[in-house]
Amino acid sequence: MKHLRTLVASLLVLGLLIGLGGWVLGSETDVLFRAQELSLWLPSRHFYDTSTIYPGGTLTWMAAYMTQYFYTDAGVWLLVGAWCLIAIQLVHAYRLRGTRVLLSVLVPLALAAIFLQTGYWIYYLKLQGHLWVPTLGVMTALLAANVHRLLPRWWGFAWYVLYGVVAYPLFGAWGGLGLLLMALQLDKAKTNPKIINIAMAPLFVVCVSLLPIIYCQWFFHQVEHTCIYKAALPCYQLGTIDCTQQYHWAYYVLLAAFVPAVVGGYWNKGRELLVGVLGLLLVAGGVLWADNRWYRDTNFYKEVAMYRCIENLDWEGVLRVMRSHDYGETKPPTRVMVMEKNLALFRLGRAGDEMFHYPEGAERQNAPWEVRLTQVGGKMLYYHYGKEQFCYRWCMEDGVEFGWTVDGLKYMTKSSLITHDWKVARKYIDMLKTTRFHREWAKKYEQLIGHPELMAQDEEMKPIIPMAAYPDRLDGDMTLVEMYLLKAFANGVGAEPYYQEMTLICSLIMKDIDLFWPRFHGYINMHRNDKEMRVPTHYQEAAYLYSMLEPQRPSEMWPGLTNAEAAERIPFDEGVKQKYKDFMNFNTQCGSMSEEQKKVAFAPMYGDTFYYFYFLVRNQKTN
Amino acid sequence: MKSALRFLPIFLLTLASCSNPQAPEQYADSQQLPTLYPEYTDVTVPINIAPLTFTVTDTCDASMARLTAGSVSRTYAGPDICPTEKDWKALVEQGDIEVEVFCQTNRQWTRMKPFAIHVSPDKIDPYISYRIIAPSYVAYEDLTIRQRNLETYDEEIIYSNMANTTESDGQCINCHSYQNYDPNRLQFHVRQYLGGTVIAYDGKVEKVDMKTGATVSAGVYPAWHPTEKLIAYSTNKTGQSFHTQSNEKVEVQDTYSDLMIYDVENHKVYAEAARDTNDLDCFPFWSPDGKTLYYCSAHYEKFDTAQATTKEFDMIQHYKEVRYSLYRRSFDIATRQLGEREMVYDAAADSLSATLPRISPDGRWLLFTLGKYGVFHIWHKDADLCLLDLQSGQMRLMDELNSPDVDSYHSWSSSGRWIIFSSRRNDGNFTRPFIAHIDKQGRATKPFELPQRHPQYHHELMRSYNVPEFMLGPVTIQPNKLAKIIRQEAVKATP
Repeated sequence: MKHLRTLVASLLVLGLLIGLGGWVLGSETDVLFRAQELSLWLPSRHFYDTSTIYPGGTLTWMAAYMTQYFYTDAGVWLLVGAWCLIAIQLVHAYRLRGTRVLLSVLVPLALAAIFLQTGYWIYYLKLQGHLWVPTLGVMTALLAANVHRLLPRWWGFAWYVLYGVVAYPLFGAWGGLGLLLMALQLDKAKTNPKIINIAMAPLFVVCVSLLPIIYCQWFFHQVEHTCIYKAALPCYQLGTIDCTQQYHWAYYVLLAAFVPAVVGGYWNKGRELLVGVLGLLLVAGGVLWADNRWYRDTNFYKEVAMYRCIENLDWEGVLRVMRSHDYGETKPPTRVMVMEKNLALFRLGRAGDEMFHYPEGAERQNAPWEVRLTQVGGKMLYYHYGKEQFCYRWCMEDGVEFGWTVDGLKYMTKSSLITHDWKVARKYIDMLKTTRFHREWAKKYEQLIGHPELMAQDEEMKPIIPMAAYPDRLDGDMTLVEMYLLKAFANGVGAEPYYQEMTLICSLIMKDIDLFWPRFHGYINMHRNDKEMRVPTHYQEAAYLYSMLEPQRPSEMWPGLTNAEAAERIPFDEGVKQKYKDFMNFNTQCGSMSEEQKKVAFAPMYGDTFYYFYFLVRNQKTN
Repeated sequence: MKSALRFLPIFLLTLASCSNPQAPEQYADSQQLPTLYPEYTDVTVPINIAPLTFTVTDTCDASMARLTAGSVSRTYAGPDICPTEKDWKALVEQGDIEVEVFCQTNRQWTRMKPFAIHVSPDKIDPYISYRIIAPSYVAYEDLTIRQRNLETYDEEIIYSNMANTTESDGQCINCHSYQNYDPNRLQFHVRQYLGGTVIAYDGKVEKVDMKTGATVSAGVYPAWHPTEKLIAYSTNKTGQSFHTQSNEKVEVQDTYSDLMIYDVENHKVYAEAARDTNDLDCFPFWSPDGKTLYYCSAHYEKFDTAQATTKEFDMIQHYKEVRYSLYRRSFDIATRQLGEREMVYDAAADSLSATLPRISPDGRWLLFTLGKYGVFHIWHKDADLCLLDLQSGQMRLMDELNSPDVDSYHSWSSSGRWIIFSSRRNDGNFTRPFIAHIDKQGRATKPFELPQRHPQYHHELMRSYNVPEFMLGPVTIQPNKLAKIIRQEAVKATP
């Protein structure tokens, strides 16, 4: 009967973890894919050496290795497999039998909570392989505990000492967990000689408190003295913004999750119900807590999904995600979403007709600190808009500050190719060629080294190259990607029609009448020989609106013509004119409304026009 | 023990890649030199250098290399050719090494054109130190000043900024420098958090705050006086901006800079009160007798005097017009006074810019960097090393050392027979130290890249070497001691 209960409980644990895996797979695929792009593992001695300059480096090195598997769905199943192994190890280490086997699921669930709370930290956490570190930390700690269980008395003690000595450099703070779990094998303690039990406590104190100091004094010279005990733990602090308390709760839950399993094996029979209820309460409490605390929202998921679409040059996909309501609650978009949408429309040649068909917004990213565009999409935007040195620069800055990533190496490669910096592109390609999942990518781009003619035919680079044709100058973006791009293009002059249209789009977004007219004039002139040319709606709307606001401006563009004659040169659609009149009439009708009320009232009829954008979309704070 | 722990998992891999096989007996000869990384064909190395390891990068199914010197011959399987220290010692003791690289394709071996590694009996100083820094621009994270034993591959940290860096308080470290190559007499700067200048002198270590009202900044680029307890510095107000197109990436400019001298013993700063703020003095360096201070200087006046633009903005607009020339000033050791300035090389008159003057220990040669403009030549691809004979006044670009990419920061060994310099020739972005022999006539040999235990190390390293300097031995002050001193209050220098 007990075996049956054990079997059923084991199957329940397995089923729960597999179900969790399925849910993670369904909801987190894009996030996990992004996370592996924001990580790096190289199969070289140098990479290992670099990882191990900090205590716990071996653990983070292993974790970075595992992170790369999030490139495919296998990554999630590997993680679920690791959680199952943890459950099995717990059962073995603490001899959980019968329904008490259910207690073994608490630790994996706590690990899942840590895993899922990451949110925007995927861009900022400096701990290498941070998504896998807690799981591997617990695994190594439990493995140590199981080895300890298997070894007889003095051998077990020798293992305890040996592990205590080497655990800190290898596993950092997680080494202390291993020692603790060994010390808490109470049934084993019963069979140990008394002297072993007496010695274990002071040894624990020495290994956990004193040895790390010694290691950091003599071997790990790059650890700040207040961080000695935090080795291989993520640091949830950005500059002066300390989010430790908001995120460390899950680690306290993890520690608490061990308690029922550790003591559960020694409780008297008949307490299964109590144990089960305790476990469920813990899980329910964790979930409720998590629900209030997690910084994940629609925009977070949409941002990573849109980014992935751009990586695949799936421009329609970008727009589909932008429009989609499949991500739960609907919030105004973040600036990076708006910019990615505009990029997609620009690539599709529809920006002039559709860029105001989507909701505008400057929603703050759902994180306790101000997320910067440079981290969440700025590099990619710079790359696609031909600002290759700025793309390269931010890849380098972020690589230095937050650690080297596949994403960073890829963008440094691509931007170096466009600037013909072949040698350094070779360096990054050679590194990526050694990775498990990015070598094909690297081989593809390797073909482009030294071959601008191939780049000119490349689907991705073809539209970028004309955007990157402008004279060199010294400049700076002051970390404001959007403002820099807008100003650089709106003030830029380019002979390429593609570039020229971007100058027009940016002058439109900036609502700058002085910049608009020469760019609009340039656009008309560049396309005047195109018999099928139709001026896109938003450009017409802007020209019509501006010619209404300042009637003399068109004639300044066409010297020698009267205002009316000049206006005639602009092929306005009747619909554009009519909508303007309707907008103005409606505005008269709504005269007493506040601007906020007008925003709502005008949106259904005019939300997709430049008129609405010009008059009612203001103060979009960029980040 | 930490090293052992770190290296254990990859020990077998290393063994596998560096075994000792037999060279092929049958092969065809090619007149083509093999392609190697690092490029070590026909370089000259000191007899006491660590083994030169390299990778055969030719497209081969298999490769190997045979190194022969006198009666000693060793063969290694490729593509990574890694002579052991014992093998290497046996080889260099015999003199020049002939290297034969064999490349197998379609089961046929080809012997590439053999080349030599020339071995000079002139020993090199056993240690160098450098800063390891990612070539970023604003952001920084871990920075280390390290020392490397040139006779082995052993590298140690002298000081890491991470020892005193928290998430909210970052710390930059730079400009390590030694008096007469003596590792017991060193200085380096700590910027921002817990900032100051760390000065160690024969066992006494202190942190000094050199910022006084008399100077635009604390000491920046240092030069130890060869005999006195004095350090000359430039004081600089520096800014940077970014190229939108050029692969030179960044332009660093001084809008104000001047010279000062710091008395280590008395914590006293000597700075001149009257100065032309349009003269930008930088990179001081003492003559070996300590009676002359060499430096570079540019005269820059705002182009746009009509408009109310800042000098910084004006310089950014005209960055190619800022050109430095080489000067010197006599120095009175007794009074600590500098004499009038004297032109050494008017680079600006040639529409060029000369920086980083470094005098050879025998006082005859002045090695400097020559570029088209500016002071921060480490990012200028046209920056080349140039040698001025202070006896004859003859000057020449050192074509035997220079590359199409950046060749800049350089220093002489204590014997004057070797120089080490930074170059971005490998990939245009990451500086690597190169070493070259230089004879009494000022002729240099082909430089070789600092050898590493694994030849691909530099190709994968995402950091640059900064300010390589020779030392007669290792710095023995423990990093944790330096960290502790940096946490203490700085000694305030007085004007």
